[in-house]
Amino acid sequence: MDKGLTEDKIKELENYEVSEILTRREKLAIKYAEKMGIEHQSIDDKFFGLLHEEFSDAEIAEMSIVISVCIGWGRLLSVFKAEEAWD
Amino acid sequence: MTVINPIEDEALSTGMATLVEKFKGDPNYANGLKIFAHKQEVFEPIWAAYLNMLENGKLDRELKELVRIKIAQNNDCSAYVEKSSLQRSPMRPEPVPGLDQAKVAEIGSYEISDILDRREKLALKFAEKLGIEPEGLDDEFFDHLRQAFSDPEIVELAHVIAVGIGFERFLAVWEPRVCAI
Repeated sequence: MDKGLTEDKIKELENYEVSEILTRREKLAIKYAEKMGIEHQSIDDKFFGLLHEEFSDAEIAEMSIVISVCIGWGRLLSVFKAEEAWD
Repeated sequence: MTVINPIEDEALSTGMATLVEKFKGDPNYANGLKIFAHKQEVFEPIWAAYLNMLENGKLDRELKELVRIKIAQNNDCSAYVEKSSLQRSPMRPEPVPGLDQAKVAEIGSYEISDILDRREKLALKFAEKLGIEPEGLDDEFFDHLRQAFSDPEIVELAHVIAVGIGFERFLAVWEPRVCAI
C-alpha cells in the first residue's frame, strides 16, 4: 500500500491509543481528527502544544483541511448513502 | 497569539489575498483563513466556490445564513452570535440583506417557532443533525426534505452545512478563537 499505510495499522485505528505499531505522529493525527469530529471544544492549547512537537504549522494546516473534508463531506456521503449506489 | 501561525500577507496568492480581503473587517476570521492558507493551492478554490455558492446559489441567501448561524451555535460560537450586530451574521463582516432578526432569535428553539417556515425548520434540523447526530438523519427525514426542496437545492444546502461543520469548526478552535471575540 502507498505511503507506508498497512492493513495492520488500519486495524489498530479503533484502539489507536494503545497501539504498538502506530507512531506518536500517527496517534496525534488520529486524536486530532477524533476530537474535531466529536468534541472540538476540548481541543486546548496543551493539545496544540503536543501537535507542534510533531508537526509544523503547514503540516497542521494541511491535516486540518483533510479532516474538514472528511467531517463535512464525509458525513454527507454517509447520510446520502452514497455507497449504496455501488451495490 | 495564534496556536498556528497564519502565513504572511506577502506569501498569499492573488486569489487567496482577495478572499482574505473580504474579511478585513473581521481580523480573527481572516487569520483563520490565513492559517488554512498554508495549503492555499487546495484551500483557495474550495473557499472561493463556497463564497460564490453562498451569494449566488439557488437557495435564498437568508435561509443559508440561518443555517450558518445554527451551525455557529452548535460549534460553540454562541457568544459570537450574541455579540453580532442586528444585521450581521457570525463570521461575516457585511450585513446579510433581508436577514430577519426575529427569525435569528428563534434558531435556538426552531422546532417550536411560529415564524420560521417548514423549509427553514427542515434546513435547520439538517444542519443540527449532521453536526451532532448524523445517524439520526434517516430515510423518513430525507422524505420530508425532498417534499420541501429539490435535489439540487438539497445538495446546495448540504454543501453549506458541510463547510460549516467541517471548516468553520476549526475557526472555533484555533486561537484567537473566532467565536470568543
